[in-house]
Amino acid sequence: MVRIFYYLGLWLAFAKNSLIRQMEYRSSFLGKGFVEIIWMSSTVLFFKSVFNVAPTLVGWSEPEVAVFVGTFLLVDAIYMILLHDNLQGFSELVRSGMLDFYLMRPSSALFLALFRKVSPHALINLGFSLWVVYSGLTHLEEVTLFSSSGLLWAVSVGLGFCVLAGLGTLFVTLSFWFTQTSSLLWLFHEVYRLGSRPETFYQKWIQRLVVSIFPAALFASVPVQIFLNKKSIDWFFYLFAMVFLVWACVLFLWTRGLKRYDGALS
Amino acid sequence: MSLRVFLKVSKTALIKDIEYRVNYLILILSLGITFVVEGSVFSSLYSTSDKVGGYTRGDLLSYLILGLTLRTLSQIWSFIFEMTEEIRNGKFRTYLLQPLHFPSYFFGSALGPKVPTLILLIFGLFIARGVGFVSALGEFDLVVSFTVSAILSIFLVWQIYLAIIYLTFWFEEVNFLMVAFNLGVGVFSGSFIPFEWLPVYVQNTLNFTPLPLVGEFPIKLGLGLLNSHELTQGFLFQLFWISIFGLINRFLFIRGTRRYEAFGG
Repeated sequence: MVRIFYYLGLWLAFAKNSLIRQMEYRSSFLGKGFVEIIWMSSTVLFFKSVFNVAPTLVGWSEPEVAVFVGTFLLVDAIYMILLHDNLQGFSELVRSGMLDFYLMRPSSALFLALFRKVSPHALINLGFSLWVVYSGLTHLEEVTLFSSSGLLWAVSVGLGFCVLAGLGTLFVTLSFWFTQTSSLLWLFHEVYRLGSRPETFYQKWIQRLVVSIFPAALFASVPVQIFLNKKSIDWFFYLFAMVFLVWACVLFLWTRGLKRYDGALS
Repeated sequence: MSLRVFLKVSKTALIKDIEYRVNYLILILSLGITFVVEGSVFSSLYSTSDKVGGYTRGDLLSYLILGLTLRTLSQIWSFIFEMTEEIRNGKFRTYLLQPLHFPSYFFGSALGPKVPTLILLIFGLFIARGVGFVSALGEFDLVVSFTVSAILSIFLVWQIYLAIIYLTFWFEEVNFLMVAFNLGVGVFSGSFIPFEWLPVYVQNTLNFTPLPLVGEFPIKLGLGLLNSHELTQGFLFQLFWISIFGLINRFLFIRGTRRYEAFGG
């Protein structure tokens, strides 16, 4: 428990430091926020336009899709705030030997490598995504966030994020073995996009793929379907199991990678 | 800069780029995933009806493929950031002394690496047409007019990039505008989704911008959905916007280089 508070305190210090650093370049900070707004509005506009010509999409009504899109944007926002910049710089840490500095510190090197940088500008995404979820829920009478199912949604979204974080880390941990690693994260971001649609939109074989080999459906689609009673509670336990499985793989690769790692600094 | 130098620059950039073969594999995967992700929404529209929003399933898949082709060819990521960086760090001064035209050099460098993608997309389109998967570009004159409009569209997108890049002479941070443009252009130009499906107020606003001309116009032309009047009007508007941006860019470049200062050797 003490360790948890220690790491929480450490992360808050990182967050404060990142905020101060980013606020030094205010135009860059505002610019990044502007980019996020454009990206999110175009995502919402895409679905809004589709529902201009069709009342439902394979059993999903417009408010249900709004809840899905909002949830996906929410998971993406948490990813942006906590992980994106760190995963982006991970391969450079390994290649340049800067990881040495993390290994020498008394805290977990994996924690430092994954959470050192925080992107406060993505708080805009967080607000926007919650607004999209809320706007969808106002048209759905049978479900509400302030109930046990709402709590279940919040926990499953957290688990969905853990799966996403685990998969991202899994990709970048391969930096210990490959030299051309910038492509790894690009590859991850490409496959990650499979989670931006409910998996029931895809053909059967892709549906199987996104719940097993690359479980992108677990980021937002499965949590939302549990929330909207489109999937049974069993999926919640599956989500739990996948978090453990993905992170077990991460820890395995991380340990093996560290054994292989040669510090480049003298 | 002469055409010969321009082609040489493109060729050099292509040779340099194909050293990173993995990037091409990921690009192919990226195109495939975009097709799956967007296509999944479009396919799910046809679970109850054969025609939605004026398009059959074949039409919409063709729309998606042509949109994907246009976006892949016109969108540039790395070089535009390199250009702003060179203006910022002072390297730009070398272009003022050397017989290299700054925008043409980078345009050539950006176009060269797109050749393998272009070959791949043309090959993919041929196969898709051969198996009857897409209905677009059925006649020779459609192929020709689509190609011309696609070239103009690529050039127009480049002119928009340049207008943003030249703002670096005055402002520290403009990269966000280019990222925003790249992220938004898919939906707002009608290359991700038929333009007429967008809410009316969005369409009305976007009609005052060149965006529909870099997405909706060439795609609809390729699908054979435009009459001769719309076709002529579309080409004229493309040329009009290219000229407008050409003038703006010339003005920005001249004013920008006048106030530009670079130190060091």
